[in-house]
Amino acid sequence: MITGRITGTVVATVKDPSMEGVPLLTVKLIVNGKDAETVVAADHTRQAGPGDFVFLIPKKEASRIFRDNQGPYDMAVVGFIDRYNEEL
Amino acid sequence: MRIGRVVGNLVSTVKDDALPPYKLLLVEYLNPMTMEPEGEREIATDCVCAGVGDIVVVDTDGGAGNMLHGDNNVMTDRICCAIIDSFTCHGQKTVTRHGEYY
Repeated sequence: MITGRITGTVVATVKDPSMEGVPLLTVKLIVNGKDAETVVAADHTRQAGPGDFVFLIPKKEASRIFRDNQGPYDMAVVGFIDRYNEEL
Repeated sequence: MRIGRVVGNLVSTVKDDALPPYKLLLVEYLNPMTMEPEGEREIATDCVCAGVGDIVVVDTDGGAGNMLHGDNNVMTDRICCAIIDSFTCHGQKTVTRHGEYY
């Protein structure tokens, strides 16, 4: 799982029918403390908005996390980060 | 699976409903020969009570995560599945944990 900051939302009416009902967000990934690329992620928490510091799950787990209505996702917002301790 | 070091942890209350029982650790991957950090720092769930500074084996597959945690509902793709005492690589032995049996 990787951290990121949400920068915006994506609205797409013409898309795969299995992707309906799941908000799409643009997320700037943070790798080793530095900003990396911006990706589009599905929002599993359904309450994330621009400016939130979140952590995401990539690959197969991004669609498996939607349990019964799994969609074709490769990145999903899993949760909000309250405290990020980097001690070493 | 990769060798990594736990460098921090993460506190998150609002998250997926299957994640709460598992601790979220911040892991950086190490080059086994030089013990230098390489690659990205990622978030892993913990199933061996690893703490900051431990050299751990990080499993990088979600299916393995369900097996390790014994719970098919948890969705994670990095798991600390072992705390390394020592390992040899190309004939060079590295002791990472000085337990009582050394």
